[in-house]
Amino acid sequence: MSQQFSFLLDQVSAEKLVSSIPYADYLGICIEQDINGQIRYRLPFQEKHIGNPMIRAIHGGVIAGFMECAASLAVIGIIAHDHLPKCVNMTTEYLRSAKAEDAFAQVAIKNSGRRIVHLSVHCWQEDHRQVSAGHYRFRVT
Amino acid sequence: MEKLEDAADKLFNPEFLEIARTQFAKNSHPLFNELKPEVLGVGEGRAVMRLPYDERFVGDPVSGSLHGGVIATLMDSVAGLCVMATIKLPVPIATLDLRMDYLRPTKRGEDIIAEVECYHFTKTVAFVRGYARQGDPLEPVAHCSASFMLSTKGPKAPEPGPFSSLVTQEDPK
Repeated sequence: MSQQFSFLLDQVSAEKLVSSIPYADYLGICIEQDINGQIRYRLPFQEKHIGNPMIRAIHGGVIAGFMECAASLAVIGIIAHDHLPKCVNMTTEYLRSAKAEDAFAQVAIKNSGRRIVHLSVHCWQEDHRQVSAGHYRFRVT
Repeated sequence: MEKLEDAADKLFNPEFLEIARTQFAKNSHPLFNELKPEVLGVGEGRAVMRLPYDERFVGDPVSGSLHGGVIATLMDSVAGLCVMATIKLPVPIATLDLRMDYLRPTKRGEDIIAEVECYHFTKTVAFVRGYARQGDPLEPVAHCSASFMLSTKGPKAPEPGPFSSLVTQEDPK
């Protein structure tokens, strides 16, 4: 798998990349560009993501899974490897409850070493209301 | 060695278990309708849940191992249930933070059993840790530690103090 970030110019291969990971496909993640040309990931709202039916909030685990998918897609974007990167560990902070609407994520690569890539993921909803922040470590060897 | 499921059933209070099973596996829960988790045991300070293997939640199609996100979802749910059972108060709770260590890849076709304990709680925060396993109890697939805010619909945040201007606020964008 050797997609560079330029794959974004080609929406078909972006979709193909997402659908190659069954869980990312299940969540329905889309890769898109914001108005500044930055890559962002979208989690389109679906009823099956609701974890708290009383306040209609998206489940924290779904948000964490979405952010982990975004991080792994970003790792695939920078590193040409024939296998998927493995998540070693992660921490997720829940800043606000995630409402029943689309969520977005942007990934910052903190360091890309030979074996480990450190990433931080910012997840927000409408009006840049940040719902979650996460730190992820991926093993790429 | 005794199977995890049987051990869990003996360990926990049957009353709690009945309430948790009916509440947690309600048909009206959109996410759990998909994941189909099963509460195996719940009691003071501990909770055990099983997640059936499902091809849709695979993270690596070559090995068939599950994606970390679905394990995190299971851990967050069982940890929440554990907190409820420990504080024994019907107050709303919210996850503050969740840390997952993915210890080894999960095996294709095998269910995940998550067991957590609430090892401390205060008036405002509860602390939970636990493991996710597949069959062999000595080889956990993931470890989690999480903290939960209790009574999330409590009193409003205090007014800013006289020195609040000295505190750097995060840019809300």
